[in-house]
Amino acid sequence: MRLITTIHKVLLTALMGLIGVLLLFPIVITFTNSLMTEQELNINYGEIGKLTAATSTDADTFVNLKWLPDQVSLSQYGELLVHSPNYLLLFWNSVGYVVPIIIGQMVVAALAAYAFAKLNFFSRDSLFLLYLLTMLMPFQVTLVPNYIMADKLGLLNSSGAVILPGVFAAFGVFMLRQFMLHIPYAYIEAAKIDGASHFKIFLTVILPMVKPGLAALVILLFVDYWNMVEQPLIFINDPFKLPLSVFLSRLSGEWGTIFAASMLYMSPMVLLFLYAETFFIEGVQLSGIKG
Amino acid sequence: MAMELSKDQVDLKRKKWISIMLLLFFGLLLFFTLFSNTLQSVTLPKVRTEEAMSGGIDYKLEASGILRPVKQEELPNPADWKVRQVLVKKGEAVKKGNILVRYDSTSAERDLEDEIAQLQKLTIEQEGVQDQFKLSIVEGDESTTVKVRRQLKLLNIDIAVQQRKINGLREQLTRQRNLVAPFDGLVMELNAVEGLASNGKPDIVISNRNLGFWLEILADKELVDSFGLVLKEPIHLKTITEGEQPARSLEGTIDDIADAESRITDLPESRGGATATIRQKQLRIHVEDATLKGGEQVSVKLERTSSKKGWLIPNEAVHREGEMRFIFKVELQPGALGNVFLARKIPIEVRESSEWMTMIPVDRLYEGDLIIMESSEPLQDGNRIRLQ
Repeated sequence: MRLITTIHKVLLTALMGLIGVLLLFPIVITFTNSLMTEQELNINYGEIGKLTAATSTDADTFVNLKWLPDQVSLSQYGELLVHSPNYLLLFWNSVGYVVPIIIGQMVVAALAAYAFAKLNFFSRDSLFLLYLLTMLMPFQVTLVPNYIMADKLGLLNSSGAVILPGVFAAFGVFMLRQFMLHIPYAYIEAAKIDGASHFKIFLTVILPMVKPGLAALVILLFVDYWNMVEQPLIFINDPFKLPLSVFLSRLSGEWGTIFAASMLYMSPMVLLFLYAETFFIEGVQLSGIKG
Repeated sequence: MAMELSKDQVDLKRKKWISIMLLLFFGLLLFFTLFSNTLQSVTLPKVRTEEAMSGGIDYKLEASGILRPVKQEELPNPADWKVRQVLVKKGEAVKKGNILVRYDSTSAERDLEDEIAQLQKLTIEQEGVQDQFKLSIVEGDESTTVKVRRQLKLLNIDIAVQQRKINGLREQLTRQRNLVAPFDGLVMELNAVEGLASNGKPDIVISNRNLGFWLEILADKELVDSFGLVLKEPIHLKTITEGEQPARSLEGTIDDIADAESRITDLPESRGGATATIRQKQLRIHVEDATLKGGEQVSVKLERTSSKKGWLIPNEAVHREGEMRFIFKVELQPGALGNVFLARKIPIEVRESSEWMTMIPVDRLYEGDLIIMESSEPLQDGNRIRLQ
């Protein structure tokens, strides 16, 4: 019996390890390639590489994925930081989209979730369901009405066209509501007896209790909007207003710079996750939602 | 409890580190975003630019030289006599028949006088013989008469010979006593020195003024061809000011156009010291002017603007790569972090060119385009540059 458990454990570890490796693979490749020189990358992925591959084998174009650089070089980072300020500008564009969306959605979602979870008003649940439908619908479905609305409001080609739908997205409301449902009503009643208003109850009683939920929400929203491609692609025409995610997704330009930019682009997300890791795990566990 | 506390502390420490890293990360990115342009511009190649001009190309043929007489004559000392007096100076204008040099003819005059004396002697002798002849006729001495007549005839011949000799000497004397200008001209050289006989050189070299002067200049064949110069074409010349003499303009005609030796020059667009052979032509311009003396410095200046119009690029901005020629122009790329200047390579076809300028077709550039004249580093298409 014990042997079976051990074998089970080993197999599970091996499977998890394999999945882990598969998941980490792109990140590792990005990291190691960002340390290669432009010439090396050209040989691996560029036309020269394709040509040599075509002449050496039967013209089968396998991509030559290289793990380790022949010579570790930080030139790509130098190129990115000093010679390609446009990448950095796009990075700040991304920040400019993500920060207002996160702050806005936190405010809106926390207030709305409180209302949906703890207040009693007419057709509360059906209204919530209706709101939730927008989350259930794929982005492509709401794309056209969103576009028309942004056009009518004169928001096309401005950051508002991306930020406003983000602020009022239903996901945060849903998540925080789930979180708040777990808070016993007795806390609110106690506060009411002490003469606290709804806003005071929200600020001093509810908010501190949903802290892990808020942290989880921040990370989930950050991941979601930091990586968005479709919204800016559709609403923004000006290439100088696009976030870096759109630019990286086009994969045009110098390979090395793109690898280095990807690494830089990944960093805030990793750091943020590490920072709020405990909150995040707690929050996700409590709300029962996975991102 | 203590364990939980330490776990919290570890967590707090970790968070502190991560927040420092986050701040550093964003701080670094902010720094590079704001200053990368400045950092980069320090390392960019510096270029000097000029605005492209449009128009026709100006051809300029500038040359100068010394006017030389078409014909000049050397006048030697006719009888190798000593020079008594020199009547002209170098560079002086003389008319035909003017006396240039007088020679010391004393010995010749003495010879002449001797010969005259000899003639007188013969004449006196002739008178004596004539008296004898008259006496023999009166006396009727036939044989004496015949003898005296023969003697008289011989004397007459002697006198005639002597007379001719004297005439010859006289003529020689008048001819050789003075050196006379054979035509209107200018004294180009004066070697005669008073008191001395000839030193082997001609006493005077005189130029013929009526035949005019020649100016010989060398010019690039291409340039000469571009002016379409033909024989007998009138050309304006100008004397070069010397001291207080004002510059004068002269009229000349092209007398001869001939191929001349090619010259070798460094290519302006190559830095490796490549050379090119440039074919040349020699122009001979004929000038007739009464006031000229010969030896004046004159300059020729021909200017012509080509009929074709295009962008004019200074030759130093034109680069060469094999047969292809190209220029670099400045391209402005607007950016949110400031405008970026790029060097853009433009292949050109040379329509016409002069020593300084190259004309390229109109469609190659726009009004106000800046042409890169020189750069601190070799440029390539699309390089970022820093304007001087």
